[in-house]
Amino acid sequence: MSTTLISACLALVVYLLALLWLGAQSLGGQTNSADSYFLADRRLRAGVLFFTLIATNFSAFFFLGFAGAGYRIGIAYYPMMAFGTGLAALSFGSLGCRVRKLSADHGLITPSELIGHLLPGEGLRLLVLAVMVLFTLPYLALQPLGAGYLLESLTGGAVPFGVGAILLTVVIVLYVVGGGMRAVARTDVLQGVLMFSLMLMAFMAVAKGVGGVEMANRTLFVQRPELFSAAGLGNFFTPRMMASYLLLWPLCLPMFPQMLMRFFAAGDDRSLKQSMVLYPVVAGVLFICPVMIGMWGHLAFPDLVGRASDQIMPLMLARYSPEWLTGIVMVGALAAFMSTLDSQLLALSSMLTRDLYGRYWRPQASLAEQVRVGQLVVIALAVAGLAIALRPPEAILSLATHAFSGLALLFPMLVGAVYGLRWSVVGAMLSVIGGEAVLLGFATGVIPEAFQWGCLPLIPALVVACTVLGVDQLIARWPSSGLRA
Amino acid sequence: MDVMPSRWPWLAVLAAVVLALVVHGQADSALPFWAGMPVWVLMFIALQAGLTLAAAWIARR
Repeated sequence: MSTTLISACLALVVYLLALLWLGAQSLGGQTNSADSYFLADRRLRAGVLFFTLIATNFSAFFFLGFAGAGYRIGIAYYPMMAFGTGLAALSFGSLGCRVRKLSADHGLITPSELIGHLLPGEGLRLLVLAVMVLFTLPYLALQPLGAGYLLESLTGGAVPFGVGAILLTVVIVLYVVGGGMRAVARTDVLQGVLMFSLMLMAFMAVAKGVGGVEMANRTLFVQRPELFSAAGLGNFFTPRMMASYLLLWPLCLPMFPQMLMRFFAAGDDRSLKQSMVLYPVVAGVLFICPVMIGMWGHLAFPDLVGRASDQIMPLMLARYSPEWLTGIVMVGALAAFMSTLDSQLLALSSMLTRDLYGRYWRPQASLAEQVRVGQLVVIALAVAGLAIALRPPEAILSLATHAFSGLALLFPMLVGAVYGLRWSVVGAMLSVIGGEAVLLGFATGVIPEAFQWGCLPLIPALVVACTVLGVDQLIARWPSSGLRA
Repeated sequence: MDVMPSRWPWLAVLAAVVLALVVHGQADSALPFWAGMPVWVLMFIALQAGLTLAAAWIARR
C-alpha cells in the first residue's frame, strides 16, 4: 500500500467522521420549525456565513476544473473567474441585504415565496420554482458523479465509483436530514477551511517542485507563449467572450437557490457585507493556484488532450508533491464536492416541500410536518441524484452545461422586483420564458450561432428577457393605461 | 449629512469593469513579465484589489 493511499484513506476517514460529528452537534437547539431546519433560525453570522457562502459556491470544479482549464486555456482563465466572482460578491451586501430584510419581515423561506410576495401570481411562483429545480437538479447529480470518480482514483480503485458515490451521499444525507441548515453551515466551515489550506499547500508544493513561480513561468513562456496571452489557447477569450463571462457570474451566482437562501439565513446585514468584502480577496488569492498548477502541467505532461486535462491536478501532485500530501489534497476536492451538494439538497428540499407540498398538497401541514417532509425530500433527491449519477442521461448532462445561463435569466425579473419595479405577472413570466426559449434555441441549433454575435448565448437571451420587461414597463406607464387590468 | 451619493461606489465598480475590459483588450500588443507574471495579469490583480475597496465602500453605506 503506497504512502499516498494510506494518507488518503486516513484523511478521508477523519474527514467523514468530523462531518458526522458536526452534524450530530447540530441536532440540539432546533425548534422543529421550518425556519429552524431550512434557515438555521436566520442566525448565520460573520465567519460561518462567509464560509457557507464560499463553500457552497466553490464546487469541486474549483479544485479540478480550474486546473484543467488552466491547462487547456492558460492564465487568461484566472482573471475571468476571479474578477467575475468578485463582481458577483457585490450582490451579497446590496441585493442580499434587501432579500434578507424582506424574507425576515414576511417569514419567507424559499425563492418562490419571495417572488410570490413581490408579484402575487401562482404561475410566476411555479415558473421560478421550475426554472430553479430544472437547472439545479442536473448540477446536483454531477456532484456524486464527480465525487465517486475522485474517490475511486484516490483509493487506487479500492473503492469503486458506485460505492464511493453512495458512501459520500449517505454521509451527506445523514447530517443534512439530522441538522438541516445548521449542520450544513457548520460542515461548510470545516470544508471551506480544508479547501483553502489544502489548495495553498498544493500550490506551494508544486511551485517548489517546478523550480519556483518565476522560473516555471519563464520556461513555459519560451515553450508555449500563448498560454500567457489574454485570449488564451485557441483564442478562447475574445473581448466579447470576456465581457460575456464578466456579466454571467454576477447574474447567475445570486440566482442559485442555495446561494439566495443564504441571504435569507443571514443573521444581519453586517455579516453579509463582511462576506462581500472578503469574497473578492479570497477569490483573487485562491483562484490563481489551480490555474497555474494546470498551466505548469505542460512542463511535465505536454500531451493531454480534451477532458484528460481535468486530471492535471492529481497528476501534478503525484509528480511534484510529497506522497502523503497528494492524498490529503484530494480530500480537499471531496470537501468541495460535498459542500456544494449538501446545500443544493437542502435548497431544493425546502422549495419542493414549501412550494409544492405545503402550498398545493397539504396547506394545513404544521411546521413540524414540513420539516419531516423536507427530510424525506432530501433523501428522495439524494437517491434521484445518485440514480442520475450512476447512469447519466445525455440530456441531463447537456442541461447541466446550461445551468448557469438558465438561472441568470431570472436575474432581471427577480432583482427588478426586489428593487421595487412592479412588473405585471404576465410580463415577468414572458421575460423568463422568452429568455429561456432563446437559450434553448441556441442549445438545439434552431437559432443560428451567428445571432450570438461572438458572445455567450446568454447575451441575446438576456436582451430578449430585458426587452420584454421594458415593454411591460412602457405599457404600465402608458398615459391612458387601460391596457392593463 | 450624507454628501456622497450612494451610486458613487457603484460607478467605481463600473470603472473597474471598463478598465478590466480595456486591460484585457490591450494585453496582446505587448507581453512584458514582472516577477514571473505577465504584467496584464498583475494589472488584473490590482483591479481585483480595487474591486475589494469598492466593496468595502459599498459596505460602509
